[in-house]
Amino acid sequence: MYELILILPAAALIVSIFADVLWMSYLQLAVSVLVFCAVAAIALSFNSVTVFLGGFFFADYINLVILITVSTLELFVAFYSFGYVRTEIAGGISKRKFKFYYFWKNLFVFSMMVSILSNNLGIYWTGLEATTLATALLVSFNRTKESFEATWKYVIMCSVGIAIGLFAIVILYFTTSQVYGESLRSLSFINIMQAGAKLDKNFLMLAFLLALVGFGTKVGFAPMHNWLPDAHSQGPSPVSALLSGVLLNTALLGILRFYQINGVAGIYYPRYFLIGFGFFTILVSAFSVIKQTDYKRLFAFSSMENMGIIALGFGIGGIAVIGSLLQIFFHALNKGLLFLSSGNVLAATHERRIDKIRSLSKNFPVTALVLLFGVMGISGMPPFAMFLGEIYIMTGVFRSNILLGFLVFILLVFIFIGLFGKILKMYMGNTDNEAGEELKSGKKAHKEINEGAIHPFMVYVPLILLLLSSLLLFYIPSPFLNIVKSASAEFGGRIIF
Amino acid sequence: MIMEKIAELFIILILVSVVLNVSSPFIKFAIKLYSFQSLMLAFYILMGAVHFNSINLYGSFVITVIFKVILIPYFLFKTLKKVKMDKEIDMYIGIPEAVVFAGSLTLLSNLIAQKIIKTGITFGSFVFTISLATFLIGAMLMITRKTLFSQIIGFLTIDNAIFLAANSITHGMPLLVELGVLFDLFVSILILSILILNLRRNFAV
Amino acid sequence: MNFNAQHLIFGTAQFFIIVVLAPFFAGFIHKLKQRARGQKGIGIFQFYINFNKLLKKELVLSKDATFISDIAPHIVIVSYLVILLMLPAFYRYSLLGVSSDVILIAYSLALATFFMTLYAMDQGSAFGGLGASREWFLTVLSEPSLIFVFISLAIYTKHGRITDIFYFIQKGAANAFLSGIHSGAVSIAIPFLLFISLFIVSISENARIPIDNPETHLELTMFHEANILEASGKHLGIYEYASYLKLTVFFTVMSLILFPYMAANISQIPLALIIYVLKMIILCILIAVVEIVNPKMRVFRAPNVLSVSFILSLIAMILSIRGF
Repeated sequence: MYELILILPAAALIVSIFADVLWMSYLQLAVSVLVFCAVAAIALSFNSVTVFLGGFFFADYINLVILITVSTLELFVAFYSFGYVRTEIAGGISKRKFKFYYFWKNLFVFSMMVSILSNNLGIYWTGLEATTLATALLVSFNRTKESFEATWKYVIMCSVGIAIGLFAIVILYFTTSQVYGESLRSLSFINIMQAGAKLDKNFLMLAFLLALVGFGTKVGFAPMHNWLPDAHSQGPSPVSALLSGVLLNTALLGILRFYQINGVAGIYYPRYFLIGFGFFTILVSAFSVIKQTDYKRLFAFSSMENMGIIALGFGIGGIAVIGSLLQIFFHALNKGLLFLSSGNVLAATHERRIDKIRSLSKNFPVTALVLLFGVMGISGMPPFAMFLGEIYIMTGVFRSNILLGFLVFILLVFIFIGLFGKILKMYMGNTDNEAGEELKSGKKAHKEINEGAIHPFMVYVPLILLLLSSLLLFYIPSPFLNIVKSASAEFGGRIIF
Repeated sequence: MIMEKIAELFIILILVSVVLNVSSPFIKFAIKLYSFQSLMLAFYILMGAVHFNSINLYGSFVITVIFKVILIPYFLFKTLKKVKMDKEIDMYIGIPEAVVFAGSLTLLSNLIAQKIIKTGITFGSFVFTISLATFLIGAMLMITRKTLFSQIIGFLTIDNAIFLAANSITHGMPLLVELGVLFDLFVSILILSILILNLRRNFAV
Repeated sequence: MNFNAQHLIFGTAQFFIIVVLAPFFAGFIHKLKQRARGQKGIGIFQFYINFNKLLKKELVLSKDATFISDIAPHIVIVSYLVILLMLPAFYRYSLLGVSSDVILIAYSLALATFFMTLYAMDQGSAFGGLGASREWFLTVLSEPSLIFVFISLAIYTKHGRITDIFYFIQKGAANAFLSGIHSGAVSIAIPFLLFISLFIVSISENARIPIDNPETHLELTMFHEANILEASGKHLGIYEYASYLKLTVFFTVMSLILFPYMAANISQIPLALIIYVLKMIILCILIAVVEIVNPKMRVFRAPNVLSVSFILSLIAMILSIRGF
């Protein structure tokens, strides 16, 4: 069962080299559904840490949460891609290009799965670097100058960041090799956790800091975040959804592993670094959101903000950890729906700027509604599931430090105003202004710009995501809740329902 | 003992090549220096292999030579030939200032390395200082230079620094992991080369 | 024979041998360069003949010249001679070995440069001031690395006198590599760094090709030559000889860093002398190769190279402070 999660994307990867694109899109649906079913089956029957494939891979509660997130979002993205490929091919993009799309996307998902499930930190590293490389050519998929430059920044910055992460792993290996000797066992996460307090604390601390900075680059923590808005906004929309929704969490998993090891060894101050980075990230993204003019960049900054909140939650501990774990899942769904529905607008209008798009509600009734409610959801408003995650985290923050909680709260309000104001303009604003005139009188007026131009799958997948996201506030399946509870127990979080 | 002393010579040569890299605006020279630097790294690993008699390190030596000394510089030269760049033009600070800055980074890294690494842990003294300095100078190269090739060189320098540190405090990572790491590095260089080609050809950056 | 008398005799002999050999090394480099260019070239001993000829020629001084012009050439050559008196080139007990402090050596070199540039300006020609300012442009850049090289040698060995420094290195190396005892300062890396640093400095200080080209008299390329353009007769002869001595000073220090072997008694002297000459010839070949391979670089690229030299000596100093 566990092997299936790795084998299926790998098989799809190989088939995508030979298969026709339209045929491949059917296969992709099947693969994604199968992976989702496999993960669901694992989640339903999961009761203890399981090692497979010769000890190189394992599943515990924490990576199961992320695994569920990845497979769920991947399922929706596969359906969306089904429509996306057809719409874009009808719009004049060659089939050959989309063959690469499926190839790289499967490689991306495969390496992400390898990273998440790896027991060996070296393999985790290799998988994470492979995700960078696999997504590099997806980000530059449009082959414009901006996309190439975004890719360049992305690859260079993330490679350097991950190289620093490698350094962290090396130092950890040095520390553990004093217990286990120089073998693959010293890199195995389970073994490291068992060694626990026997490890040298100074080196563990150093390793955590390096991992925080290194993998933090890939998570998008604030001083190292430059690449994130560019890379996430330039890729095709389904890829943006995967990048924002799940890849950031995969990188965060690396930091969490180091955090866990430090916790086992009895070092507790790394949490202040998590809190610091988390808060700073929220701060930077709050001020960046306000001045954005590109709606995909807007959502990219929102991802950054949410990663900041999640890191803050893990740093605070206690009830906030549960909030963070829930947030990982809910944020992926919500960010997925935002990128996918804004992808509809982009696919139809080929326009990225916020001030060029007005009165969406007229031309894109469903998409515009999804977009509007999605933004409400991402800001943590009640009818949507992210409210739950955010309220747990904020409770934790307020309990530990009222001043910090107040600051974070103000920043969240900032972000809400920034996001909602802009999307509301896109939703309602009349076309009387200059941009609207241009749209009316210019060439674009001839084009058919409405939802009819795009495949129905593209319209309804975000809608289902929205419904799901709303539903999850009222009913979280109890197996998932149990997994989250058990995972939070590993960080020392407790929950009283 | 003698192996350790010779190994120290090699790591000093790594630092010398990095400083020379900072002092030169020529990209071709920088790639040659990178190859030389990787060779010195490989020799350092070889000295460790002889000293500790570790098969792991011998393997590490071989793959370092294959990937870092031969393959990566080869592809970089090939890309360079296609895009016809030869000189770094965009620098934020002048060369003498950059070199002096590199020196102060070395000073800083010596202070840090003394704090965290006790003498006797590493194979060859002051390896950690050199590796940290190489790391920081590589980062400086990336920040102060705008040309795409210089950024690649900076990235590769950082990577070499981490390899040096990895091989100095441990007797090499497990060979499987090291192979994965080098392969990833190699592929990322390929992708960056593709990006350079695209950017130069289509947009003349 | 009395021990001190032995020191006196061999120290004096060492001094005279180096001084006499100095033009030979310069001539050898010149010969190598010309051969590499495919020219027949002058003889190796041509510089001795030149010196002899210049001494016999009439001395012409500018009408604006003051007493500085009379004393400057002598101060220049005497400061180099004093340094040579201190250096233990192949015999451990050099004549001025007792007072051969490294700082003194560094500042004697600076003193010579100072008086040479004073002489250039004292003559009142336009080229003199130009040459002097150029000379200082380079000296200011290379002086720090020269001083750092000497200071890091001192820190490395924890001795102040140059004779003690090299004896210490020799002893440490002999202990470590011949008998396997680990005692005192043993490192290949630090002397190597110092050697590279000093090599770059010596190219700049001795007006060698990538930085300067003394063979041409084009106003654009002149550094060293512009300073002594006005000198004639005896003064020019002294300046020429001083430049050979300066080259020898740098090469001797480099040869000692490269492979310190100094005789302690009479039986070792022949071997030490042979090794010394061999090392010097190797260095001559090295510098000739550098001169042949490289074109003259633009003046404003000189700081790039010299800053590398400075930083390498700084790194050597950092590492020697740290201990090993």
